[in-house]
Amino acid sequence: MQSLTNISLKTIVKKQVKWKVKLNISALSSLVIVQIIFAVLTSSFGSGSYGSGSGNLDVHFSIYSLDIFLIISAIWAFIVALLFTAKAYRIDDLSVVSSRTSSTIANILVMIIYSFIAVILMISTYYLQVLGILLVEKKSFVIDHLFISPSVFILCFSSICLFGAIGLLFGTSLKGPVVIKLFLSTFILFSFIYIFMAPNSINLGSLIMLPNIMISVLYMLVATLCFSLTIWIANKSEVSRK
Amino acid sequence: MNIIQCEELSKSFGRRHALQRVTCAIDAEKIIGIIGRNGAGKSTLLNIFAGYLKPMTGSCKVFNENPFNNIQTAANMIFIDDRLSFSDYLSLEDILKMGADFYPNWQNELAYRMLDYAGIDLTAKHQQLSKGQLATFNLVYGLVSRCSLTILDEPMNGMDEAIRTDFYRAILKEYLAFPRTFLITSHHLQEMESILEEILLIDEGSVIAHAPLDEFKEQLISLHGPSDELADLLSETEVYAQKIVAGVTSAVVDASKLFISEEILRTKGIKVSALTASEVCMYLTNKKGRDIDAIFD
Repeated sequence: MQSLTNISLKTIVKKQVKWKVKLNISALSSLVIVQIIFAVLTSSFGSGSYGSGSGNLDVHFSIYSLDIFLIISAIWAFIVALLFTAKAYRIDDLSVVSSRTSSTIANILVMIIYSFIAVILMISTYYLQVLGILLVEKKSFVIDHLFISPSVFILCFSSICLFGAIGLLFGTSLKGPVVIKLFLSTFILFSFIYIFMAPNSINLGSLIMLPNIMISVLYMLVATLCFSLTIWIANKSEVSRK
Repeated sequence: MNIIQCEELSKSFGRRHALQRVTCAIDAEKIIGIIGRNGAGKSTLLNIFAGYLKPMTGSCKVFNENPFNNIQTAANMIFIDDRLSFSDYLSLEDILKMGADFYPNWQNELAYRMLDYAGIDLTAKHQQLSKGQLATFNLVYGLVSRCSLTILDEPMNGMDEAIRTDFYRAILKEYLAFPRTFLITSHHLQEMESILEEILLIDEGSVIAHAPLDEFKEQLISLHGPSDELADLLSETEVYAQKIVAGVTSAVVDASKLFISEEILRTKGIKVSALTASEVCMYLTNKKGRDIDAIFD
């Protein structure tokens, strides 16, 4: 009898990651395009601006920061993660050696790699925006930090990763067993009711005051929890090809 | 040696019972036809073998392991049907490269030769292929992967007759070159009879027959003769179909319940003839009392 092929999960995941990174590269080009559009749109006022005047003196400040690019990247990560769990992508996975576990782990790793690239792209776009303003509009700059610190880099990365993780968890839950779909619907419903009934009870002020590295660790922990839940749900899910 | 072993397997979708207490064993290195009418439960059974669906009750072992979400089953199995899809960014050539990367026994040269024979352009995208070309490409993909368990769910759908005949030969040649288990479902049983070794017949979610092809065909026979001579005989056996025209009766009966020699039948003017596997399938799965003519009467 023909001998059976023995392939480890690790080998399959590696191959899947290799092909998924290559095949979904257009997701990154869409991020570049959206960031450039926002960079141009916000070039005159930045992520916030204020001004004051007295007599002949009129002072106007525009703050240029990574904030707007981070928000765009986080939304992008959520949408891309949702797309990864779409039916077309899941059916494509069945055309090669794969299991729900291997495909989900591969999606998570691709999401982490893309999040890292997204941070580099957003920082590059930010510098390009500042350079463009410096050369075209010839505004005076008060530079707070010329270089992005590692802690900001990690914070951006963990934020994008977190949104990607939520997207993957949300998308996988929607295609998961009925019990999980019911649980997810109930959770979302009660969350909305809670937010509308007691909007002041959610206080993010103390979270924002934490050092960057602490927030990053917190985000990474939540992202890890989301990734783990995604794998757990995927393991229990059947494949619907209809 | 069995590569698939199912015990009391059941699966429902809502209130619909797709499979009911299916027990079967599939031997290694055989070409087996999984036959049944539309909605009989063939695809559900194959999806369980492939590890895509989880049975509600009973057990299923493929290569001695539970196939559900099992990477070892996935590594030794390929499931080809018309829903096979690939990324829009891949040309057929890229798809072959990807297949070679994932399947250790992949035969790239053979894939090129077969696709060239079928006149399929390798620079085309999977989505751009016609229905027949798509089926041909998918079948080639399944054959050249040389997996121990190759599941082909309606692989010839959309192919013209000439290419169908060629590819039945291709399946046989591939099987001889690299023996493995083929599970094939098809509505063209007559065409593929020549390559099948066994038939597993499913009806309304249950396995109603599983036997080598010759044995399967011998289950039913056709009797043709004077109605008065056949009347007594038919009352003693199970009749699957019966037609009386001008005092002559034609009937399909269960051969195992007919305790009379062919010699005696001949002396009574009753002609005995064998049925094709396709006809046996049709009669075994026919609903009693169901008649299309009755709708128009």
